[in-house]
Amino acid sequence: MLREEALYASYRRLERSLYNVLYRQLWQAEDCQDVIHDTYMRLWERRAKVDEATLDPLVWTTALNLARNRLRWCRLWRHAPLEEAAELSVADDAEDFLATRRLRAALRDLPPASRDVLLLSHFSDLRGADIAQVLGIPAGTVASRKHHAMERLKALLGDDHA
Amino acid sequence: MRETDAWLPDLAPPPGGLARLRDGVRAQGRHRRVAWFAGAAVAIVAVMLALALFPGWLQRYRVRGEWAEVVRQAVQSPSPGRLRMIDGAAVALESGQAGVRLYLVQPVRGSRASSQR
Repeated sequence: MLREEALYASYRRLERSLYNVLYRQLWQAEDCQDVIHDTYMRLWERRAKVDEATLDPLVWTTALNLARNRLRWCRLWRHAPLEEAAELSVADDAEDFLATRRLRAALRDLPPASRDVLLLSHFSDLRGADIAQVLGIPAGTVASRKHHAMERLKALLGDDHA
Repeated sequence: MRETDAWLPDLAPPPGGLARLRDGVRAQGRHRRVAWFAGAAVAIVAVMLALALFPGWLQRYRVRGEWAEVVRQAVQSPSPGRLRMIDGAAVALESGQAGVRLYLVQPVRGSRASSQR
């Protein structure tokens, strides 16, 4: 049974890392906020079945699923994202703006599972086994997927950031 | 510094997320209460409409109740002279056993008179 205080504590604990991971998938601040909000509301609706001990991995799984659904919905209805507006809020000058665009293109070219492993490894406090559980992949493949994603990013971004 | 720090700078989420969640949780509680009352009201209205629109159901229910009463009395009354029928009729059948009395009972719809047999 999930208590209200535990829900808020998890929100305070994970909001920043959730936002950073989701932003690299949705590239819209408002969309990220909505997904985080919807994630916690959904878990609150099912609070009778939620175990507080496994709340954080469940938050990650739910948030990533909702983000995928939102991307699918956008593709289905051909909603074009407002790239410049979103990215300018992150990168103030033109050089950073262009770098963000390149990063976005590079992340888009990664296999989804590898990209998620990279983002979760970087932003979340989850261990390899937890990342595997959240993404539904074998635990033994987390390190190799992360390595593969890093190599791909280096190749795609060149020496700009390395 | 990790290698990915340059590619993936840490961003601060917009403020107000937790307050929005608190509002959402409170609003959900209100919505649930409203939904419960609305559901109860709809159920009451549905039952009243059913009673108003389908009076035959009530009549059938009453007849079934009377039939059960006739059977109960027949079982409790070993003597055929004490069998009491309410809105029904009974025919004595041959049971084939000396200590067993067998009746075929049938409620008669619309008949209000009680009979003493």
